[in-house]
Order: sequence, then C-alpha cells, then structure tokens
Amino acid sequence: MLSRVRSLGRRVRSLFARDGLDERLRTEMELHALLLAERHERRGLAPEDARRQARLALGSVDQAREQLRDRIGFRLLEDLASDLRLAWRQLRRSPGFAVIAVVTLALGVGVNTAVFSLVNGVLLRPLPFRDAERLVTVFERDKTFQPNILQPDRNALMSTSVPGLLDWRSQKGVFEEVGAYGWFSRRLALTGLGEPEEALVSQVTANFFTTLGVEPMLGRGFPSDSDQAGRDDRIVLGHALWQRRFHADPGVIGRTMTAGGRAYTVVGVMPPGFQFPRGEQAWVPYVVPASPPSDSRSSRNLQVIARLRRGASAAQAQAVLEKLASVRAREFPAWQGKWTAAVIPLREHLVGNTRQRLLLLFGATGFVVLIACANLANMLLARGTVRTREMALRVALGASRFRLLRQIMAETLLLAVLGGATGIAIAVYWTRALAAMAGEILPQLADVRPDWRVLLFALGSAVTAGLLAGVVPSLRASRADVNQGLKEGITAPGGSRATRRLGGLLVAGELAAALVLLAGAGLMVHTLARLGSVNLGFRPDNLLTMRITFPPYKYLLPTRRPDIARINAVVDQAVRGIDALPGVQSVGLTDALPFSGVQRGTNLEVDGRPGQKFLTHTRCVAAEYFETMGIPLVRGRLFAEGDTATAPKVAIVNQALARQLWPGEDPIGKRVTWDAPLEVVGVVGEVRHLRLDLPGGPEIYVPTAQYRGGSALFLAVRTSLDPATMVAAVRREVWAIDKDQPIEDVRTMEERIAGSGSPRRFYALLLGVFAAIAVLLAAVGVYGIMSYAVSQRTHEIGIRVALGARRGQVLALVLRHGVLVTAGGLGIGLAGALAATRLLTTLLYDVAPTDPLTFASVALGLAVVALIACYIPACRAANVDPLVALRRE
Amino acid sequence: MTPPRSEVMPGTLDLLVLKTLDTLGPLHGYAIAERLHQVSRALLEVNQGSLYPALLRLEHDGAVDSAWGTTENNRKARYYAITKAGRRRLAEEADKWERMADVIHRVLDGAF
Repeated sequence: MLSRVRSLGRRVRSLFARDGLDERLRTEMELHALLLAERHERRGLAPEDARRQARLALGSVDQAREQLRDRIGFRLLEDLASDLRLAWRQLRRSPGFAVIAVVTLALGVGVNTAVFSLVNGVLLRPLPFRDAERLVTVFERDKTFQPNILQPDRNALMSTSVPGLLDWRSQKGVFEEVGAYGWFSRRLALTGLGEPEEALVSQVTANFFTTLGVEPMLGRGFPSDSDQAGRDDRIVLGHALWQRRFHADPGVIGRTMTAGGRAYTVVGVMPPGFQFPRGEQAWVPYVVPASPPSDSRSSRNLQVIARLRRGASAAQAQAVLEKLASVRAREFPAWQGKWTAAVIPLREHLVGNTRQRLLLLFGATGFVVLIACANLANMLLARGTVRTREMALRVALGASRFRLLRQIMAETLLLAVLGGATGIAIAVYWTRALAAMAGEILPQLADVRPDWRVLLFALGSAVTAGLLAGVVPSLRASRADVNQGLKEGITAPGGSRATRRLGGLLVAGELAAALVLLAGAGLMVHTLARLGSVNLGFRPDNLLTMRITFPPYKYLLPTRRPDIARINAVVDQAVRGIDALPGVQSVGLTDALPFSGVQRGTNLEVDGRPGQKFLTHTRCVAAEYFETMGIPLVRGRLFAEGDTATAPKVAIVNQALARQLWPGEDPIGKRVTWDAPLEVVGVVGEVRHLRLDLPGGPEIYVPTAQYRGGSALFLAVRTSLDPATMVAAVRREVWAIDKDQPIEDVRTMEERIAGSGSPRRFYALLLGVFAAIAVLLAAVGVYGIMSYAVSQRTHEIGIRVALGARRGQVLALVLRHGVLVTAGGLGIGLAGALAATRLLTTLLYDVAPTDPLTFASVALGLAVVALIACYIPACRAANVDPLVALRRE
Repeated sequence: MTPPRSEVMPGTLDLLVLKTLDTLGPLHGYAIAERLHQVSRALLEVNQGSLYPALLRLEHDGAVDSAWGTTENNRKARYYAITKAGRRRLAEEADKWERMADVIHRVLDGAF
C-alpha cells in the first residue's frame, strides 16, 4: 500500500521533473555507448567505426525516451501539457489576434461575473444567520384584501399581535423558536453623551437573537426574562453605535445609558454588520405580557421571525397556522375574523422583487457573453482558414485528425483561460463599484464580495465560452485537405465561402442581441427623461429640510397626552429664530414631508354623506409651509394667525380631494370630520409625495396649532443661498432653544428626490453599459467579417477592376454582404426586443415596453454603427490596386 | 552453425535484470548488459536501447535503487541494486513466468 502511494508520488513528480529523468537516461546511455565503443576498439575497430557501432547498438535516445514515457507519467496529461506549450507558442506568434481574443472574452466574462457576484450576494450566499434556510417570517394575512392605488406599498400581509405571537409560539410541532420585533422601530433620543442624537431602536423579544442564531460580540445579550414588565431596562448596542458613541470601550457591558428619557443597562454589543431588520442601531426588549387581554389582538405591531424545526417546511408550518387561524376566527370574529396566516422564508422576504431585477441584469450580461463568443468564433474561423497550409503539413507529417483537433482546442482553451483570468480581474474591480451603487437599493448588496462561487463561475463560463466558440472552427480547421492545403497559396475559395456564410450568421446574431440590449437601455433612458420632467407640484430648489422630534418623555402632559402648547411654543420660537437668519426666505413645517418616506392618512367623513368614509392623506403644517414649498393656492386662503387652538377648526384640501369629494362644486365652506368637524377654507395644488412616478393623491392639511401632529415635524427652509451652506446656522437656532433637541435626516429637497430615483438609475446605468459593450463587440464583429471577406476576395476584386469595374460598383459588391447581414440582424433583433422588453415593465414610467420612438431610434443608431463598420473595409476594397491584387497569386 | 538469436520477449527484460542484480549484487548498466549476454551464452539479444528505460522504470516502481559510484576504470557510473520490494517482484514475476511456461508446454504437448 505504502509503496503504491510512493509510486504514485513518483509518477506525479515525474510529470514535473521529467527533464531530470531524461537527463539521466541520456548520460547513462552515453556512458554505455562509450564503454561499448572502447570494447569495439579493443577488438580492433577504428575509433569512429567503434563509436558508430556502439550507437547503432544502443539505438536512438529518443526512442528510449518514448519507451520510458510510456510507463512513467500520465500519457494524457503529458500530451495536454505539450499541446498547451505548442498553443502558447502559436499565440505568441500572432499577438494581435491573441490580445483581441482575450480582451473580447474578458469583457464578456467580466461583465457576466460582476453581475453574478450581485446575484450570488443576494440570492445564493447563505444569510449571515445560523442555519438560515430554516428561518421564516410569519404574517397574518387579510383574506379580504384588495389592492388600493392610494397605498401602493401595502399588501395583504400584516404583522401580528401579542396574543397572535403566543398562539404561534404554542405550535412547537413546526417551530423550534419564535421571536419577534416591533413593527415600528422608534427613534429614541440618546442623551448625556455629547451631541444629542437619535438612534433607530427596535423592540425585540428576549429570544430575538437566539432565533436568528446570532451571538453578541460582547456580553451575553438579553436574559430570557427581559420581555417581562420591569425587567425590560436592558439594551443591546449595534457595532457602529458602540464604536462611535462609546469609543469601542470593551467595558461598556453593565454601563447605563439614557435612551428616550429612560435608563438602560447595556448587556451586549452585536458584531459589525448586524443591522437586522432595518438598519437598527440598538435593540431593547418588547414587553410580552403573559396573559394579554383578547382585545389586544387588534393591535398588530409585532413582526414575527421563527426558526422551523428540522424537517419541517414553510408550507407545512403555514398549513398548521392556517388551521389555527380558522379556529381563532371563530373564537374572536371581531378581531380575527378575516385573518389567516402566511409563512414566508426569510430570504424571500428580504429580497423581494430585487430577485427578478437581478436575474434580468444577469440575463442581459448573458447576451453580452454570447456576443463575445460569436466574435471569438469568427476570429477563430478566420484564423483557421489562414492556417490551412500549416494543418495540411501536419497531417502530411503523420498527425491524426484527432490530434490536430486536440491541438486546436488546446489553443482555444488557453485563450479561454487567459480571457477568464482577465475577466476575473475586471469583474473584481467592477463588483466593488457595483456594490457601492447598489447598496442604496438593498443593504445586502453593499456587502457583496467575490467568493469561491464567483471565481468558479468565472472560470467555468470562460471555459464554456471558449469551447463553445472553438468547437466549429476547430472541426473545420482539422478537416484540412492535404492536397488542397499544400497546393494553394493561402486558402481554397470553396472553404472560405462557407466560412463567410457562417461568419455572417454569427454577426447577424450579435447584432440582434445588441439591439435587444440597446432597446432595453433606450427604454430606461426614456423613462428617466419622463421622470425628469414630471411636475412635482412644488419647488424643490433651494430647500433645506430636516426632522426634529419632540420625544414623548419631554413633551408629554401628566394626562399622557402630547403637550401641544409646549410643542407649538418651541416651534414658534424656532421659526422666528430661523426666519431671522440672513439667507432664509421662509420657513415651514409639516409632519409628512414629500420624499421623506413618511405617509399619514385617515378615513375622512364628509358632511352630508353619512356612513361613507374616504381614505385621505393627512398633513399637519405650521408657519409658512405652502409658501416655503412653493405649493400654489388655487382657491380660498391659506392658514393665518387667526387659526389658533381656540378658533374654529379649519382645513385646506388639495385639488385631488376636492375633485373626489365635490366634483364641479366650490369646496370652500364645505365641512368634513377628522376627529373633529373642520371647515374647508382653501384649495391648493397637488404634489408628488412618496415617489416621482406616483401621483400624490387626495390630501387634507390642518394647522398644527389646532391639531396634534406626530411627535416629529419636518422643517423646510427656503434659502436664497445654497441650502447646504445654511445647515449649521439652522441647527444652531434649534439647539439654542433646546440643546437636547435631536435633529435628523438633514438633506436638501433635491437630494431627497435624487435619492428616491436611485434604483431606477442604477438599472438604467447598468443596462446602458451592457448595451454599449454589446454594440462595441458587435461593431468589431461586423468590421471583422467584412475585413476578412475583403481580404479573401482581393484577387477577385483585382480582376473586376482590371476588367473595368468602377469604384462605386466595387463598393456596392462588397457592401452587399454587409448590408444583408446588418438587415438580417436588426430584423431578428427587433422581433426579439419586442418580446423581451416586457420584462422591464415594472421599471418603466409613462413609456410602453414597445415604445416605437425608442425602438426606431436604437435600431437606426445600431444600423448606422454597423454600416460604418462595413464601410471602412469596403473602402479599402474599392481602393485595391488591380496590379497588386493580381500579383498576389 | 550458431542457433538463431532470439529477441528478448517484451516484459521479460525486467525479470532478467532483477535476477541479475539479485545474483550479482549492485551493477552498473553496461555490466548488466554484458552479464546478460554472457549468461544467455550469446543467445539473447538485449536491445541495449531498451535496457536503460527498463532500469529507470524499475527504479521508478521501487524495485531497484540507484546511486553514483565509480567503475574499475575510475569512471563515474550509476550503480543499480535490487530492493526488498524488487526481490518480492522478482519472486512474483518468476512464478508467473513458470506458470505461463507450464501452460504453453501443455498446449504444445497436446494435453487438451
């Protein structure tokens, strides 16, 4: 056994150290020859004869070497090694071809691999939780849900209540562990640590981290009794917060800190990168009463994550929970009547519809790879016909067709490996850039790095591409006809015509693929243009915005109602201070700013329509909100000093609401009820609120003086200078009133709007880049076959010119082939694009997937590029000197 | 008239070399060839070009070991010596050869 291992080891080693063995063989045989020669000499032969006899007796060293090789080493691998060496030498002799081939392949593989990195990071890589495939999110599902255009981001899935959580916890048959986090993460003011700051804090059950399978980096996390009342004053910090505010002090465990006016003891610090579920910076316990009252079932603010038992599937768990839900629906018809359950794997929930988008991009890069393959195949075909002579010679010298095929494939393989390696380098560089851009869309994407899967994919796709491209050219080249090859100067005309046809077909395919990508990119560009010209309804320029909160612990009356009077007093003081600043034109506040992601709504009742409710967005505004935002007044008046807390309650509606409630009538003076009766005193224009591509919908505005808003207000400041320069001054004004006032989310309105468009821009940019690469490769392909065709027909052209053909006629002759190929490619491409672009529908705005303008312009553009690529070699052909051409025989 | 020289049958060269080394101890390549020539009473034509590949193969398989040494004429030469594994192989191969010869005899004697 051991000797076998040793023998194997020697065999492998001999693969690499074969030169040593060869050396030895030669020296020994030389010595033997010497001795033999001496013996012959002693017998009386002349020295040269003696030496000759000796050498004859020994035979050739090379033959001996062959014998040696037969038993030592691995024949197949050695042949491959020699093929590769030969291939390397061949490539070195035509560096231009090699470089272009490698670059072509590298572009295709690089782009494809970069997007695969993203796909890998989001869809394939395991989530950073222990046994992440067993993690699921559980929702209550509304059986009666209908989609609603006013609230496009809502769907039938809803979080659950405390009794709901306890119900699900009891299902130990399917769930190993059930944890939850609060649906609303709160921004709590961290005080006593220098500048006041708000941190996003999530309330979670005590077993939250255990369910996920993540251990804190420091400390032990929440003790299991943390979700009981009175024991919930523990806090777990996120890594970034710990570094920033506690200066990475390892002794932070056990320290107390204040958040939201309450004291907490630090019991853990999470590892870097952990921000589940929404970028939270700290976690506190959610108090789960042991026996909650039944009516708390209507309070659905717990988002549940659970770990399935080994062997249980999400579908099984869902079936169990649905049965339980129907039982509960009978027990509590008021609160659970319309609710059932839904169990969704965690990854799916996190990824959402990004999956389709990423796969779309991946498909697009697949096109690019195919185009690169086609180009490579064409180049190999052309090269093959040029080397017919060499191949014929080899066949004449005894190489079998299989051996020839193997050698050519080895060349292709070498190109593929080089292309793949370069492609990986490109991909690594691009992945980093892509991940930075994509991180805004999906936080997981920012963390994407090439791992072993990506490298394997890159090499695999390079080799596959190379083999795909090389199969037909290799077969062609190895079929070299000895007679023909040795006779002809360069090539046989018959062979090259077939090659031209194949080449033309490939290039037509490339053009088609490039057109599809170009159409997609064009549609995205069109969409971005449409979005750019959308009427916002307000003036976004020179607008500085920020959020100031009024934490309950400071602004709560003993009756546990918000201290409106104090809030408004603070607001008034701040407004006066900021307004007085030089460079400030006006100031306004609102509790739901456009493009802040905040949306508020209520069900409005209208006088004279009893029993009907109208879903409306609500806004509480203060100071000169409308003037600051530039929202036009259409009828009636804006809020004024007289609209105080004691005055009659008033409201302003926007045109959408007016149209909906009182079409054709004057809304001024009409009355509605929102917690209290309101009289409509003005009508303003509509604005885009959540997104550029979504109309804002009906809105009703009330003054903060008369109404409690949320505990946070957005400050909007219209500046005459660049808003970014006013940030420090405005902040100072606010802190002058209350130094602990948290100020968050300071951005100009233009930045907000730009940020909301970044997903679309990301996809548009990528599609654009892919399309550009595809067009470049396709153009190179067209140029390539045209050049090749011209060089093949130089002789024929020379004859024609000599016989009197004019330049124009020659041009037409040569261009015919190119025009045919281009037309064919564009035709197929248009058909393909018409079919494929419907995949983009969710990304488009106000542009049909078959928009004729876009299609016409990209088709025209590609045609022009292709024709230019045809024209250049055609010009060369037309300028052929007949004497030179004929002499080429 | 001298009996016709027979070529060494393929595969048996290993056997002959091993036996030579086993009997005579470490030898260099030329000496092995001479010895084979002697012992077979010049009936065996060893293709000397096959000898060295055979020796190197045997060394590769672990049946012989080699080392540099000096000949009687003070030349540097590589000496080959049989190893324990080589002796085992010699025994196996000899055994196989005997059995093969036996079978062939029987066929030729028409014992079927």
